[in-house]
Amino acid sequence: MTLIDRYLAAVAAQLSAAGRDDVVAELRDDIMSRIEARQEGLGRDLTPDEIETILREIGHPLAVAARFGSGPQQLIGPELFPWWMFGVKVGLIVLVAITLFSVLIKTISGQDLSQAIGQGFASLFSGAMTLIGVATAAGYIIERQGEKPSFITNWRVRDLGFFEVARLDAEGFNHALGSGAGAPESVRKTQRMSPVARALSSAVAAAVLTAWWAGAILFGGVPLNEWVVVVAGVDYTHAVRETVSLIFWPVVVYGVSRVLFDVFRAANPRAVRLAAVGDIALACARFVFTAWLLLISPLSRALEVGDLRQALERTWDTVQTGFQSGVWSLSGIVVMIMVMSLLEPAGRILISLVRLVTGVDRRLEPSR
Amino acid sequence: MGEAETFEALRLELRRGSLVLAVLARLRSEQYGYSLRMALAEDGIEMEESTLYPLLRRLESQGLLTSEWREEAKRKKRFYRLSAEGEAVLARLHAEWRRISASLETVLA
Repeated sequence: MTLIDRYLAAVAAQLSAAGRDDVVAELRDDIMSRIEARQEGLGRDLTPDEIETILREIGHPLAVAARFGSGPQQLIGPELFPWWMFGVKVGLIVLVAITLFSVLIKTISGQDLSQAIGQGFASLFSGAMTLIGVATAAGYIIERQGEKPSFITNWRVRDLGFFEVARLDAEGFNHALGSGAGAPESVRKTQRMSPVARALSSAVAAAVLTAWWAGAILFGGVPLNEWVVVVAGVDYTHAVRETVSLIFWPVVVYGVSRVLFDVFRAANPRAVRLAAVGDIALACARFVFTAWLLLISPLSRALEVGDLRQALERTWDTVQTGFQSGVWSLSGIVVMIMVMSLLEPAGRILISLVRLVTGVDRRLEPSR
Repeated sequence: MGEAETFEALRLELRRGSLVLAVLARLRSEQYGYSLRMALAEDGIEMEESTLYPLLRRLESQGLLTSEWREEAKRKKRFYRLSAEGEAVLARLHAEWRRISASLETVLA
């Protein structure tokens, strides 16, 4: 095999079957023409080194073949890249928040703080790598679609507050979430996150949380069903693991439904009644789930909560004791959080029922 | 980045868009790849193979060029020529080039 054949074979190996012979034949003719012109000038045949110099002038086979490719020459193009960067930033913010929460829970559960922080850093790093990898794979696929997603072109000024979440500082985060700190007075008065922005942020958060629940992202370096939970000498590990195994799939189904519903809401912000039906269904699921967790689950038995009356009494006792003695029982706080968690879906159901009946969502009205 | 590198990057950026015009103009008469590259080089427009051949394919897929394989000097060569559509596009691009050039001359004066 001559140098030219070897060079052309390396180029051909990078090309798709369609048009490969055509490209190689044309390149071969060009190389031969170059060589003949050089030989004519020198009045002799070229040495292998001189031929190699010509081939090097043409370029590395990988680079030459890439120029003949029909698709994009980059993983993610300049049009899509800002969206990729934004998605990664938001995902990282959620990862950091979950990691901090995980470190807090582990510390409260009796684990050594330095060990919890170390595991938190390790899992944050692996989670970030997974997130960037998944975002890049998604960007690669979108980049190669004939038509770019409509959210790149169909955007509204009222949704832009959400995009300031990616300002990785406290001021930017508060601003984006509605407090408007740092914004001019005239902007702060009128700023309100639109349903589209809320839906998108909810979808991202739900996706990351579902991935964590399903074990795709590990926080604390340990899967959820292997956590050891010992609080104030009481071992809740068995109750937690039993509860997790019972609700694993229902939570996955809920998480996926939540993401799909949020994407639907973002794509159809004016479908008020359909959104209300979805909101009611998801809120009912949350209400039933929280009630089960509080009153029936293995965790509720471990927390010694038999019925709603006991749960309310426990909550009241926790608050009273906490304020009087300054000692807050963790199990009491957990019960209190679950009781309060029952109120959120109940309120959501009521609001959504009003939207379902009237067909009006006041958040869709233009800000003045 | 030094001034020389900055200038080179900007120069390449400036000439990139004009290459299409040069190739289309040269292909008013039939050429194969190597002869086209040589003709452009004589005009002061150097083009690498890895730039020229993909460009020729793109212009052909856009219907601006036609091509055919023929044997010449005992080798098969692919000859390119401007299509009727290519003639029309070239005329419009040439007019646009003159307009841009005149505007820039005004700005730069």
